[in-house]
Amino acid sequence: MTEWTGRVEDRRLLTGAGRYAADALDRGTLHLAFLRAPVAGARITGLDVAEAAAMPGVAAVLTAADLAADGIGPIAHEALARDDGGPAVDRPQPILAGDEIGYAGQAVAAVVAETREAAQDAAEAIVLDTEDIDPPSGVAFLRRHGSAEDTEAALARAAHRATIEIEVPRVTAFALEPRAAIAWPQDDGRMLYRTSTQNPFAVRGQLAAQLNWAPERLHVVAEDVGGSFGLKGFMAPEDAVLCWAADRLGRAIAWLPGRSETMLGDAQGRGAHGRVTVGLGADLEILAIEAAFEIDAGAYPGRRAYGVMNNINGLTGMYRVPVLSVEIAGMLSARPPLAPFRGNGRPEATHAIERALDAVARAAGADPVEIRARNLIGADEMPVTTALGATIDCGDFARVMAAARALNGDPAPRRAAAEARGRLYGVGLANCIESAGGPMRQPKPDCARLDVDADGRVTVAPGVMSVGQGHETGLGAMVAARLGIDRSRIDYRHGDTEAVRFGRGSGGSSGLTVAGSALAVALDALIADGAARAADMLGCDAGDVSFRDGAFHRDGSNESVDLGRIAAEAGGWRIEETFTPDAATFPNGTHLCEVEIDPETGRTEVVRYAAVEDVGTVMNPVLVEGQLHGGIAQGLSLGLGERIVHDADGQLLTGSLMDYAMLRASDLPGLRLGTEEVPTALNPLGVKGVGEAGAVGATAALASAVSDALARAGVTDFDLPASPCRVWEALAAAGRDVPDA
Amino acid sequence: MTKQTFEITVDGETRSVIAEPDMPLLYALRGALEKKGPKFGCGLAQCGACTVLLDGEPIRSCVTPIDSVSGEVRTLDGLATDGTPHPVQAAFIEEEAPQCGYCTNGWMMYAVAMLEKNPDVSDQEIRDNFAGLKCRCGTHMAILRATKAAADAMKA
Ligand code: FES
Ligand code: FES
Repeated sequence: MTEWTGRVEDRRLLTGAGRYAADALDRGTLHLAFLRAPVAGARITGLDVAEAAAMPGVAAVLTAADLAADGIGPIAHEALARDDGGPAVDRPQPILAGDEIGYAGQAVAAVVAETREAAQDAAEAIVLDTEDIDPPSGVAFLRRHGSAEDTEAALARAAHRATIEIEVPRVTAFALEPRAAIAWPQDDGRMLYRTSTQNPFAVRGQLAAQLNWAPERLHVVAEDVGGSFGLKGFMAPEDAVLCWAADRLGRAIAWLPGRSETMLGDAQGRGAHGRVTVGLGADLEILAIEAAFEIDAGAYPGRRAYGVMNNINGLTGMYRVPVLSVEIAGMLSARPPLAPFRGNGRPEATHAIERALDAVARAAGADPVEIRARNLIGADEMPVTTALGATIDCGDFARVMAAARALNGDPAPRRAAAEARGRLYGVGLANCIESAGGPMRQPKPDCARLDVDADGRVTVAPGVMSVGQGHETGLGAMVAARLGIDRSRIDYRHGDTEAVRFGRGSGGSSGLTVAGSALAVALDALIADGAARAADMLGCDAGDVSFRDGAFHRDGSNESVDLGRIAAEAGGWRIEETFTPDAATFPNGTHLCEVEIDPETGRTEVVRYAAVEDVGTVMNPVLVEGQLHGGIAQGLSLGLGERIVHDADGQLLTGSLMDYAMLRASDLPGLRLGTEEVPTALNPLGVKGVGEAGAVGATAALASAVSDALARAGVTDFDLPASPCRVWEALAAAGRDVPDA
Repeated sequence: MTKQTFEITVDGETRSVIAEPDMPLLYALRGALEKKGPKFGCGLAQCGACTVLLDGEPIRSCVTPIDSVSGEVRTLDGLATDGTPHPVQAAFIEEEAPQCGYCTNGWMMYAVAMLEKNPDVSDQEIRDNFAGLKCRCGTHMAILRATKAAADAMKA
């Protein structure tokens, strides 16, 4: 018989016993369906729900008028002052559209009915009349950094300079588990809200503010979550509608959307256009960077559209950059709001600088790898504060870059072999560095709770939650090792606003760095507190007590008190501690990607991939590898063809996987992954964070490889995605002799 | 449409379900039949999360109307026998293949279908077998390794 080894959570996930949001659906739960706007940029001139409300099984039809009657406004948002002095734009997102429709797919009305089908049928029977108005446009927010004058002066004396443009399309998170939720009014007047989220405390806080409830009225729970990647980290309009409707009707209500609905209605990620100029001096040293980004901020540009703005520090990469000038403008559009997607601005910044370095290397006739090596910040220069104000505490970039190149090996023979077969061959390299466990300017705390019972069982509840990372295994192992008890004596709770005082949830590569550190602090506190209690019980000084194997031993005797006895004596034993990092950490890595392009079809195949990351101390190599792997797969998937497309009228053209290209297993080569550990002193574990690292490097490395391959065929200004059609067109436009498609 | 009673054999048990004839098998499985292994990922036959075996062949239960089902349905929930994991489950556990685990049902069921017919498969055949499956967490390599390990175990 096979032992259940490996990840603790896999036992339930691999037998169908996982508990995802929809798994908790009870018989008798009502279902909610939305009427979504069929047009973008419109005014509502009529909304007739009478027929829908009279349909069989319909319990309620709810609109913006009902929200207003209950005093529930739009999702408030504090507009940012613009650095160019222009007017700050405040467009709070309605929970249900009342007067104006910002984007196609926006929720206009909600139907609650006995079955999902009845709710959907009734939603279709609502009569919505609209007239076209100008879609949202113009600048919503604008931020500037650095000195335009100094940058201009430095670029003017550059020996070499190059300008590139990058287009990072909007993408959809496409977590395999669509957003789904069930709201259950409880007998005591509270609301149990089970939802597929990565941040239950954020959802609770935002819902409470939105509905004018005390936060304690809400109990938010997410047990297993089928992927999230930034999308599920906040309250969306649907969450507010569901809790509000359940409260009004006093009945449990589920919202279980289909994939077409989430493709249409989910917030989207990325969506940036960038223009970057780099100037080099005679010794190939970077003199200056000038960059301008336009973010497609959608119809309701809230805080979650600030990804590039908040993470722009990645633009100076691992390099010495004396002067720069950056402008980031958020532009209104008739598209859904933005949400973070793995990396959230970090991949865009890395993609921009690495592409620009490739281009300036080409302009200078120099080796792009050599240019990077020459400009790296040295390990002996740490800590260093960059021109964008990031303080990098430690790192050894040259070592990381050398290790990655060694892991990848010499590409020359592979290039020669592919070219002999008539293929275009590209070799790309990207250095990436990102802030983690922040926000950079003021890192947020996380929390961890330990409860010991009279049997000596320990319940761990960290403020972080897993949406696939395997924290249950990683953090559980940490507790077992520190307390010297068997893993089977440890229970684990997460994703529950009543399991711990507060929590950051999952996001910003903060799980181990912040929550893991809070847990380390809590374990120390438990042992210190236990030593004092044990000393009392043993009638000796705490200094004469030592802890091992789950018990406190009186030195020089065979007397001991175990964890359970202390808990029994105390009538329950709880320790809760928090940890706030002094500053963000900076995981960094070098990714190498090699591609073969078939000039006849335009198909790009990733044939080799190597990456070495410094994520600080590696505590669980398998979980680290999983995170890197997942991030790289996503980064490559985005670069190879993922792209949300709306037509000129704001209609979504990529509404399913028929039109939205997501990576398959056969699109990936074997990945060679390595780590170089440069532990940080910013947390007790020495860890830097790993959740976003793979995604930050991968798209940039792919872009570098594709542009290398295409440059050899005379295409100089190509940017991702490298879908066959776009590559083929670029080759044709460069006059390369390609057969008709 | 009016509801009818359907008899279906799932994981070795014959059960009856009252449903409209066009109700997707997935809903019956996850609802009245309480098989939570198959998952709703897309409802459009595009991801594989809802996969079950019908007479040994993988099908997308999200687009399979219940009235079209005749034969034996096998789900993830029924793979282990008496607490002993199926060799495919054992290999996925050993390789720590899943991350969020939401897609994993599909990969395991496709692997079971392939390997129970013939465990002697090449790497390319494994990749081809998985062509229509999606994983957003990026566990592909671990899944390929696990499937290879399962194949070896089943050959032995
Ligand atoms: S849910 Fe059936 S294929 Fe996606
Ligand atoms: S493990 Fe999460 S989608 Fe595959």
